[in-house]
Amino acid sequence: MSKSQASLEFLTTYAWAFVGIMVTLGALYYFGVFDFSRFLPQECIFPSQFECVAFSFVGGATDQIRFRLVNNAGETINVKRYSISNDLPIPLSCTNPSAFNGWLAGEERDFAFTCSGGGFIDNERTEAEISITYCAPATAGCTTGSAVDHTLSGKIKAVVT
Amino acid sequence: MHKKAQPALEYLMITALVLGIIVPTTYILFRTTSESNVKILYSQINQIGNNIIDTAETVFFSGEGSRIVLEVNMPKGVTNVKILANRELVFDIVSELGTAEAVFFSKATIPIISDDSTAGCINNGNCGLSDLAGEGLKRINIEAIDVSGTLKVRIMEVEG
Repeated sequence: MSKSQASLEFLTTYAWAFVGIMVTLGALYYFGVFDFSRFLPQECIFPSQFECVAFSFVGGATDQIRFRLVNNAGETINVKRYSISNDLPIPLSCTNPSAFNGWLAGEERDFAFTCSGGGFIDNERTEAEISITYCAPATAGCTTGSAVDHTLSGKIKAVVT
Repeated sequence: MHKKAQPALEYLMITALVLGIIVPTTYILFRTTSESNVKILYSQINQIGNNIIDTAETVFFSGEGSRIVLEVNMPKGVTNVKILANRELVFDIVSELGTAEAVFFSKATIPIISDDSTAGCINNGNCGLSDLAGEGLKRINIEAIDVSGTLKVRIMEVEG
Protein backbone atom coordinates (compact mmCIF):
# COMPACT_ATOMS: atom_id res chain seq x y z
CA MET A 1 0.00 0.00 0.00
CA SER A 2 2.80 2.38 0.96
CA LYS A 3 4.64 1.55 -2.27
CA SER A 4 1.70 2.24 -4.54
CA GLN A 5 0.94 5.46 -2.63
CA ALA A 6 4.49 6.65 -3.14
CA SER A 7 4.30 5.79 -6.83
CA LEU A 8 1.05 7.66 -7.22
CA GLU A 9 2.42 10.68 -5.37
CA PHE A 10 5.52 10.60 -7.54
CA LEU A 11 3.47 10.47 -10.74
CA THR A 12 1.11 13.20 -9.53
CA THR A 13 3.94 15.54 -8.54
CA TYR A 14 6.01 15.08 -11.68
CA ALA A 15 3.00 15.05 -13.99
CA TRP A 16 2.20 18.52 -12.67
CA ALA A 17 5.82 19.54 -13.13
CA PHE A 18 5.73 18.21 -16.68
CA VAL A 19 2.49 20.05 -17.42
CA GLY A 20 4.03 23.22 -15.95
CA ILE A 21 7.08 22.88 -18.18
CA MET A 22 4.96 22.25 -21.27
CA VAL A 23 2.76 25.30 -20.56
CA THR A 24 5.86 27.45 -20.04
CA LEU A 25 7.41 26.21 -23.29
CA GLY A 26 4.11 26.84 -25.09
CA ALA A 27 3.98 30.40 -23.76
CA LEU A 28 7.59 31.05 -24.79
CA TYR A 29 6.85 29.67 -28.26
CA TYR A 30 3.70 31.81 -28.51
CA PHE A 31 5.66 34.96 -27.72
CA GLY A 32 8.25 34.11 -30.36
CA VAL A 33 11.19 33.22 -28.11
CA PHE A 34 11.95 30.19 -30.30
CA ASP A 35 11.73 32.15 -33.54
CA PHE A 36 15.46 31.95 -34.16
CA SER A 37 15.17 33.40 -37.66
CA ARG A 38 14.88 36.88 -36.14
CA PHE A 39 18.49 36.57 -35.04
CA LEU A 40 19.57 36.12 -38.66
CA PRO A 41 20.86 39.18 -40.50
CA GLN A 42 18.75 40.94 -43.12
CA GLU A 43 20.31 40.32 -46.49
CA CYS A 44 20.06 41.17 -50.15
CA ILE A 45 21.97 38.68 -52.30
CA PHE A 46 22.52 39.36 -55.99
CA PRO A 47 25.44 38.40 -58.24
CA SER A 48 28.42 40.73 -58.15
CA GLN A 49 27.57 41.96 -61.64
CA PHE A 50 24.38 43.50 -60.29
CA GLU A 51 25.33 44.40 -56.77
CA CYS A 52 22.51 45.16 -54.35
CA VAL A 53 23.47 48.35 -52.54
CA ALA A 54 20.26 49.05 -50.59
CA PHE A 55 16.98 47.33 -49.78
CA SER A 56 13.92 47.53 -47.58
CA PHE A 57 10.55 45.91 -47.06
CA VAL A 58 8.19 48.82 -46.45
CA GLY A 59 5.02 47.88 -44.56
CA GLY A 60 2.06 49.94 -43.40
CA ALA A 61 -0.15 51.15 -46.20
CA THR A 62 2.73 51.09 -48.72
CA ASP A 63 3.55 47.35 -48.80
CA GLN A 64 6.54 47.65 -51.08
CA ILE A 65 9.70 45.68 -51.69
CA ARG A 66 12.38 48.17 -52.63
CA PHE A 67 15.96 47.60 -53.64
CA ARG A 68 18.72 49.38 -55.49
CA LEU A 69 21.05 47.59 -57.90
CA VAL A 70 24.16 48.85 -59.59
CA ASN A 71 24.99 47.60 -63.07
CA ASN A 72 28.51 46.19 -62.76
CA ALA A 73 28.22 44.10 -65.96
CA GLY A 74 30.25 46.68 -67.85
CA GLU A 75 27.55 46.90 -70.49
CA THR A 76 24.37 48.86 -71.14
CA ILE A 77 21.39 46.54 -70.72
CA ASN A 78 17.65 46.50 -71.38
CA VAL A 79 15.39 45.16 -68.64
CA LYS A 80 12.56 43.20 -70.21
CA ARG A 81 10.50 41.71 -67.37
CA TYR A 82 10.44 40.75 -63.71
CA SER A 83 9.25 37.93 -61.54
CA ILE A 84 9.02 37.94 -57.75
CA SER A 85 7.84 35.25 -55.39
CA ASN A 86 8.74 33.19 -52.33
CA ASP A 87 8.29 29.67 -50.97
CA LEU A 88 5.35 30.30 -48.65
CA PRO A 89 2.03 28.46 -49.20
CA ILE A 90 0.48 31.76 -50.30
CA PRO A 91 3.40 33.28 -52.20
CA LEU A 92 4.12 36.94 -52.74
CA SER A 93 1.99 38.59 -55.37
CA CYS A 94 3.42 41.87 -56.62
CA THR A 95 2.77 44.63 -59.09
CA ASN A 96 5.97 44.87 -61.08
CA PRO A 97 7.66 48.09 -62.14
CA SER A 98 7.87 48.88 -65.85
CA ALA A 99 10.48 47.38 -68.13
CA PHE A 100 13.04 49.87 -69.37
CA ASN A 101 15.93 50.23 -71.78
CA GLY A 102 19.35 51.76 -71.42
CA TRP A 103 20.56 50.79 -67.96
CA LEU A 104 24.06 52.16 -68.29
CA ALA A 105 27.17 50.43 -66.99
CA GLY A 106 27.92 51.67 -63.47
CA GLU A 107 24.49 53.24 -63.04
CA GLU A 108 22.35 52.62 -59.95
CA ARG A 109 18.66 51.89 -60.40
CA ASP A 110 15.84 51.68 -57.87
CA PHE A 111 13.21 48.94 -58.13
CA ALA A 112 9.91 48.96 -56.24
CA PHE A 113 7.33 46.18 -56.18
CA THR A 114 3.95 46.66 -54.49
CA CYS A 115 3.21 43.32 -52.84
CA SER A 116 0.67 41.29 -50.90
CA GLY A 117 0.62 37.73 -49.51
CA GLY A 118 3.85 35.80 -48.98
CA GLY A 119 4.07 36.63 -45.28
CA PHE A 120 4.38 40.33 -46.06
CA ILE A 121 3.17 41.41 -42.62
CA ASP A 122 4.41 44.34 -40.55
CA ASN A 123 7.27 43.48 -38.17
CA GLU A 124 7.54 39.95 -39.57
CA ARG A 125 10.58 38.59 -41.34
CA THR A 126 10.00 37.33 -44.85
CA GLU A 127 11.91 36.78 -48.05
CA ALA A 128 11.52 37.52 -51.73
CA GLU A 129 13.07 35.70 -54.68
CA ILE A 130 13.50 38.07 -57.59
CA SER A 131 14.22 37.32 -61.23
CA ILE A 132 14.96 40.01 -63.78
CA THR A 133 15.14 39.19 -67.48
CA TYR A 134 17.53 41.38 -69.43
CA CYS A 135 19.66 41.55 -72.53
CA ALA A 136 22.45 43.69 -73.90
CA PRO A 137 21.32 45.85 -76.84
CA ALA A 138 24.83 45.71 -78.28
CA THR A 139 24.33 41.96 -78.81
CA ALA A 140 22.55 41.03 -82.03
CA GLY A 141 19.04 39.72 -81.33
CA CYS A 142 18.43 41.57 -78.06
CA THR A 143 15.69 43.82 -79.37
CA THR A 144 14.20 41.37 -81.85
CA GLY A 145 13.76 38.18 -79.80
CA SER A 146 14.63 36.28 -76.67
CA ALA A 147 17.61 34.22 -77.87
CA VAL A 148 20.10 36.37 -76.00
CA ASP A 149 17.94 37.06 -72.92
CA HIS A 150 19.44 36.36 -69.53
CA THR A 151 17.97 35.92 -66.09
CA LEU A 152 19.34 37.71 -63.08
CA SER A 153 18.28 36.02 -59.83
CA GLY A 154 18.50 37.41 -56.34
CA LYS A 155 17.03 36.99 -52.90
CA ILE A 156 16.16 39.48 -50.19
CA LYS A 157 15.55 38.50 -46.58
CA ALA A 158 14.31 41.29 -44.38
CA VAL A 159 11.82 42.38 -41.76
CA VAL A 160 8.80 44.35 -42.97
CA THR A 161 8.99 47.74 -41.26
CA MET B 1 12.42 8.00 -4.00
CA HIS B 2 13.24 11.70 -3.86
CA LYS B 3 16.94 11.00 -3.91
CA LYS B 4 16.54 9.28 -7.29
CA ALA B 5 14.08 11.73 -8.79
CA GLN B 6 16.06 14.87 -8.03
CA PRO B 7 19.20 13.99 -10.01
CA ALA B 8 17.01 12.69 -12.82
CA LEU B 9 15.17 16.00 -13.01
CA GLU B 10 18.43 17.96 -12.76
CA TYR B 11 19.86 15.81 -15.54
CA LEU B 12 16.82 16.53 -17.70
CA MET B 13 17.05 20.27 -17.03
CA ILE B 14 20.73 20.42 -17.91
CA THR B 15 20.15 18.40 -21.07
CA ALA B 16 17.29 20.71 -22.05
CA LEU B 17 19.47 23.77 -21.42
CA VAL B 18 22.33 22.39 -23.50
CA LEU B 19 19.96 21.46 -26.33
CA GLY B 20 18.37 24.90 -26.08
CA ILE B 21 21.77 26.46 -26.77
CA ILE B 22 23.05 23.99 -29.39
CA VAL B 23 19.92 23.80 -31.59
CA PRO B 24 19.45 27.55 -32.30
CA THR B 25 23.20 28.08 -32.67
CA THR B 26 23.39 25.29 -35.25
CA TYR B 27 20.38 26.69 -37.09
CA ILE B 28 21.82 30.21 -37.29
CA LEU B 29 25.25 28.89 -38.26
CA PHE B 30 23.80 26.69 -41.01
CA ARG B 31 21.72 29.50 -42.52
CA THR B 32 24.58 32.00 -42.40
CA THR B 33 27.01 29.49 -43.92
CA SER B 34 24.73 28.62 -46.86
CA GLU B 35 24.31 32.33 -47.69
CA SER B 36 28.06 32.89 -47.47
CA ASN B 37 28.60 29.96 -49.85
CA VAL B 38 26.41 31.65 -52.47
CA LYS B 39 28.33 34.92 -52.14
CA ILE B 40 31.65 33.09 -52.46
CA LEU B 41 30.38 31.21 -55.55
CA TYR B 42 29.26 34.46 -57.23
CA SER B 43 32.57 36.08 -56.39
CA GLN B 44 34.58 33.16 -57.83
CA ILE B 45 32.53 33.09 -61.05
CA ASN B 46 32.93 36.85 -61.39
CA GLN B 47 36.68 36.56 -61.06
CA ILE B 48 36.92 33.68 -63.57
CA GLY B 49 34.63 35.36 -66.12
CA ASN B 50 36.42 38.70 -65.99
CA ASN B 51 39.77 36.94 -66.18
CA ILE B 52 38.77 35.07 -69.38
CA ILE B 53 37.35 38.20 -71.04
CA ASP B 54 40.39 40.31 -70.10
CA THR B 55 42.71 37.61 -71.43
CA ALA B 56 40.68 37.34 -74.66
CA GLU B 57 41.13 41.08 -75.12
CA THR B 58 44.88 40.80 -74.51
CA VAL B 59 45.43 38.00 -77.04
CA PHE B 60 43.20 39.72 -79.61
CA PHE B 61 45.29 42.87 -79.57
CA SER B 62 48.50 40.84 -79.50
CA GLY B 63 47.54 39.51 -82.93
CA GLU B 64 47.04 36.21 -84.69
CA GLY B 65 48.75 33.21 -83.10
CA SER B 66 49.07 34.75 -79.66
CA ARG B 67 47.95 32.44 -76.91
CA ILE B 68 47.56 32.40 -73.16
CA VAL B 69 46.64 29.39 -71.05
CA LEU B 70 44.70 30.16 -67.90
CA GLU B 71 44.42 27.78 -65.00
CA VAL B 72 41.23 28.31 -63.08
CA ASN B 73 39.63 26.42 -60.26
CA MET B 74 36.01 26.11 -61.27
CA PRO B 75 33.73 26.08 -58.22
CA LYS B 76 30.93 23.60 -57.61
CA GLY B 77 27.60 24.73 -59.07
CA VAL B 78 28.58 25.67 -62.63
CA THR B 79 26.35 23.44 -64.77
CA ASN B 80 27.12 24.85 -68.22
CA VAL B 81 29.25 27.43 -69.99
CA LYS B 82 28.46 28.83 -73.43
CA ILE B 83 29.14 31.71 -75.78
CA LEU B 84 26.26 33.67 -77.27
CA ALA B 85 26.41 35.80 -80.40
CA ASN B 86 30.23 35.73 -80.42
CA ARG B 87 30.41 38.14 -77.49
CA GLU B 88 28.65 36.88 -74.36
CA LEU B 89 30.32 34.36 -72.10
CA VAL B 90 27.53 32.76 -70.04
CA PHE B 91 27.88 30.61 -66.93
CA ASP B 92 24.81 28.66 -65.81
CA ILE B 93 24.88 28.34 -62.06
CA VAL B 94 22.90 26.29 -59.56
CA SER B 95 23.16 27.37 -55.94
CA GLU B 96 21.07 27.46 -52.76
CA LEU B 97 19.26 30.39 -54.38
CA GLY B 98 18.23 28.30 -57.40
CA THR B 99 19.40 28.64 -60.98
CA ALA B 100 21.07 31.79 -62.23
CA GLU B 101 23.26 33.08 -65.03
CA ALA B 102 26.45 35.06 -64.89
CA VAL B 103 27.16 36.88 -68.15
CA PHE B 104 30.42 38.49 -69.21
CA PHE B 105 30.52 40.68 -72.29
CA SER B 106 33.44 40.98 -74.63
CA LYS B 107 33.81 44.16 -76.61
CA ALA B 108 31.71 44.10 -79.78
CA THR B 109 34.87 44.28 -81.86
CA ILE B 110 36.40 41.21 -80.20
CA PRO B 111 34.50 38.10 -81.37
CA ILE B 112 34.89 35.05 -79.15
CA ILE B 113 34.31 31.45 -80.21
CA SER B 114 35.01 27.97 -78.87
CA ASP B 115 36.12 24.72 -80.54
CA ASP B 116 32.44 23.89 -81.14
CA SER B 117 31.99 22.94 -84.80
CA THR B 118 28.18 22.99 -84.92
CA ALA B 119 26.27 25.16 -87.38
CA GLY B 120 24.92 27.29 -84.53
CA CYS B 121 28.43 28.24 -83.56
CA ILE B 122 29.72 28.80 -87.08
CA ASN B 123 26.68 30.73 -88.35
CA ASN B 124 25.29 32.50 -85.29
CA GLY B 125 28.17 32.54 -82.86
CA ASN B 126 26.29 30.46 -80.26
CA CYS B 127 29.02 28.09 -79.17
CA GLY B 128 29.03 25.45 -76.48
CA LEU B 129 31.82 25.49 -73.94
CA SER B 130 30.51 22.80 -71.63
CA ASP B 131 33.98 21.36 -71.03
CA LEU B 132 34.52 24.23 -68.63
CA ALA B 133 31.51 23.27 -66.52
CA GLY B 134 31.94 21.14 -63.45
CA GLU B 135 34.03 21.46 -60.36
CA GLY B 136 37.80 21.34 -60.46
CA LEU B 137 40.95 22.68 -62.05
CA LYS B 138 40.54 23.73 -65.69
CA ARG B 139 43.25 24.75 -68.12
CA ILE B 140 41.74 27.19 -70.59
CA ASN B 141 43.48 27.94 -73.85
CA ILE B 142 42.70 31.43 -75.15
CA GLU B 143 44.08 32.00 -78.61
CA ALA B 144 43.73 34.58 -81.37
CA ILE B 145 43.05 32.78 -84.65
CA ASP B 146 42.12 33.77 -88.17
CA VAL B 147 38.71 32.49 -89.25
CA SER B 148 37.98 33.23 -92.92
CA GLY B 149 39.91 36.46 -92.78
CA THR B 150 38.47 37.63 -89.44
CA LEU B 151 40.54 37.63 -86.29
CA LYS B 152 38.67 35.82 -83.51
CA VAL B 153 39.53 34.63 -80.02
CA ARG B 154 39.03 30.93 -79.45
CA ILE B 155 38.38 29.76 -75.90
CA MET B 156 38.71 26.04 -75.19
CA GLU B 157 39.74 23.68 -72.45
CA VAL B 158 43.05 21.88 -72.87
CA GLU B 159 43.85 18.58 -71.24
CA GLY B 160 46.75 18.05 -68.91
